[in-house]
Amino acid sequence: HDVGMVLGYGGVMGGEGGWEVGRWGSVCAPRGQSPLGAGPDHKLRPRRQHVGAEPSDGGSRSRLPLFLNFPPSTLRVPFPSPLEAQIAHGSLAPDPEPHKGGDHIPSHHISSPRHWKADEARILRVSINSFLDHLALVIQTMEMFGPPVPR
Amino acid sequence: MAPGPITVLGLEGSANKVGAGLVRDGQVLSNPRRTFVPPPGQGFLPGQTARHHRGCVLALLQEALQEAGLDPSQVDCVAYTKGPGMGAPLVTVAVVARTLAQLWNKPLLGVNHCVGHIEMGRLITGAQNPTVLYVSGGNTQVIAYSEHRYRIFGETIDIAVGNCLDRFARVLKISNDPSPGYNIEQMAKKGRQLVELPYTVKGMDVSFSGILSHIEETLFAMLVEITERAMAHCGSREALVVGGVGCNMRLQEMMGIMCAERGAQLFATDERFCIDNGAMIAQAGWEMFRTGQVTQLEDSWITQRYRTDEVEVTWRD
Repeated sequence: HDVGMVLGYGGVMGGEGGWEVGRWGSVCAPRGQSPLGAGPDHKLRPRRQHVGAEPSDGGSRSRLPLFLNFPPSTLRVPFPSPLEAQIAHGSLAPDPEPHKGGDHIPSHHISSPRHWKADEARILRVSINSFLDHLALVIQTMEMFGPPVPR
Repeated sequence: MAPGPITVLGLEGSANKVGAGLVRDGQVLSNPRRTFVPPPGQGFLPGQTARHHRGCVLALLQEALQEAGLDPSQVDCVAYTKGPGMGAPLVTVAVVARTLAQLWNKPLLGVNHCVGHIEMGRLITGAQNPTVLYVSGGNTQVIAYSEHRYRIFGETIDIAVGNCLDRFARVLKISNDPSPGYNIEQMAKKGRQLVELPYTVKGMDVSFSGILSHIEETLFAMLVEITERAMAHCGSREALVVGGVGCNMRLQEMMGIMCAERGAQLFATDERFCIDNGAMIAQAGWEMFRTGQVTQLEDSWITQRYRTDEVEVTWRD
């Protein structure tokens, strides 16, 4: 019952490269629209939910707010081409997660999904927000200095 | 390696300065830089520093290219600071460097920050084989080159000398603009009386200056001693001071006296190049690139700890 988020790298869909970002919280963007361009606040925030009295099972479940048990759905970050999706992946994949960050299974291949897991919601939030900040920076760099030179 | 000039873009952002520099065959074509200056009494934290760098690195890149009069297609490789330094700012700059290298389909080069300082010092001053005193907010090392490594002869066992000065400035709420060390130096120049620590009160100006003068004298004398010891060990006739604290004229003066006494020559650069900057990363990248080094994308992770002597110095004999 870890808090989870899935980042999947989409292959070619309708001629576009793209990413699927697992959602946790209340942010959602319609398909084809980058959530990062939707406004200044792209940060994910947990919905405050009352944690009802639950029988303790001695494990981590009793610590988690209710909404975190919802299955993750996806958020799509479109790129103009598979090459640009690959470039973004290449820029963001190499760095190690900081010590207190949520564990993530590093993916070196563009089509394997990336997961976040953490014991506490706030660790996950910091980790994902930081990732999204870097993703935004990559996209801005590509907008300013792209498109990629022909291979 | 193709013949002809090699142009390298260097990106630096391991502490509170972010810089982009273009270097072509030993010529610095542009080297703009921005500094994150916290309010007096505060230091800079990784998160806010990274945010600052994120906000200005792309504009800085444009400025570097424009000032050099270059188009991105004329850049042969992209160098960035792999480490050491603060994690979040390092990642911010590395992410941009990787993106550019991939967009432009050019090689990537992860550079050691300390080696960047050394190579820029060598380029600007022309020193042949100096003993190096590297002093900054994050690092304090005495370095000598031997057999393809920059050997660390001596270093701080706890905090860097610049860190000590910065923390002292913080306690006294001295302004961080342009840097705490610069303001300490200006105030210390007015000091005429050395006072023994601990703290004495003798009217605001005099006691502050006195304390800061005393601090500078003691810290710098320690550095001169360890540099001299390394020079004696190596039989060196040259000393090079690099790093932000190297701007301090009193330190240069004290080092100069020591060198003169030994019949050695002192080399130093001005604030453009001893304070962290992009061109120094480009220069070290240029040396690495022309001797065949590149960094693969999957190996381009940044690291907060990266010792100067871990680098293979392929470009010197």
